[in-house]
Amino acid sequence: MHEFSIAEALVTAAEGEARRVGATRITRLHCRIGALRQVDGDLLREAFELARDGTVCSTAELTVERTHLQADCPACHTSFPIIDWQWNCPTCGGRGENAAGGDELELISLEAEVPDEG
Amino acid sequence: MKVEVLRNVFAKNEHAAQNNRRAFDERGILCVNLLGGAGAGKTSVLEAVLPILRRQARLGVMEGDLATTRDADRIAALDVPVVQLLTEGGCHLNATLVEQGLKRLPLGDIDILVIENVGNPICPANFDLGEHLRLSVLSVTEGDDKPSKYPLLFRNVSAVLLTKCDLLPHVRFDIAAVTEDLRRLNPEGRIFRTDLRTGQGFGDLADWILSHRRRPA
Repeated sequence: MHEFSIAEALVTAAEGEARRVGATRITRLHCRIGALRQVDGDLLREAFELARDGTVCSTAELTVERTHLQADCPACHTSFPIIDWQWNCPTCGGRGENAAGGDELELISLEAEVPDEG
Repeated sequence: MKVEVLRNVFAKNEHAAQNNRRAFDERGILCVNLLGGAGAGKTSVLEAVLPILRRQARLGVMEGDLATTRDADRIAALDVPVVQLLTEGGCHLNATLVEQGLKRLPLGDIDILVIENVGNPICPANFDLGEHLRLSVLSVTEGDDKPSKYPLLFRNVSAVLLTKCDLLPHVRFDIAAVTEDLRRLNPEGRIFRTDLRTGQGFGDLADWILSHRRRPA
């Protein structure tokens, strides 16, 4: 259950950004989470709803962009995602190698209400 | 308005981890984070490898558990300085908990600090504690599907310890397939095969850990 740690960290990060830009309300958090992090989307959403309570994010929505471990095909040079532990290239059937990514855990952007924005 | 952020969600933990690493580096301490599922044999690995390591280095151990001091008691029986970190329900250690634990260890008298994480194949792999080496323990009784099911546990680690290898004839564990999966996930990682019955592998493991010893900054 690392979802609660992630939800808390997201809210803390958003609070810091809100102070930085003078926002009174955060309406959306956009984050990127790699499949290797094994984050359960429903649990994360529940945890986020608890963590956002009483903060500048109290009504914010959470958007999660998912990424996967990526491999390269040495035969045809296609880059493809490893899903369900399938390491064969979808184009030519070659065995993928040079696995990279899939462990992202990033807050990408926020939508914020800033009073003096005009 | 849209605010571009792009920051690591665990920036706070990373910051605490860097503080821990600095504290280790100032004193020349090598820190090892030992990970693995419940029952993989992490504490038994320590009971086998600490007596070898202690011939050449001064040791300290941090035991992470949800409850009880049973693991810390096993390490204390070896006469190695140990602190028990209780997460009280938390499924992983984080760098701040470790930072607090460091205050209870005689850091000036330690060359190698081993942190045994909470037994859990998922969450602990997400948290940098400030370690220099990350070791994953996988017992052959857990099954050969574990690298595909818990890839993060095996991806960013310095080495994988396959434990209980004396049971290989009795369990379904395709060691060639596991080795291939580990290589794909982690081409640089070392793989050690160990078993407690004969002591196989623990000398090599100790040598490998000792080869990473550090000097004070």
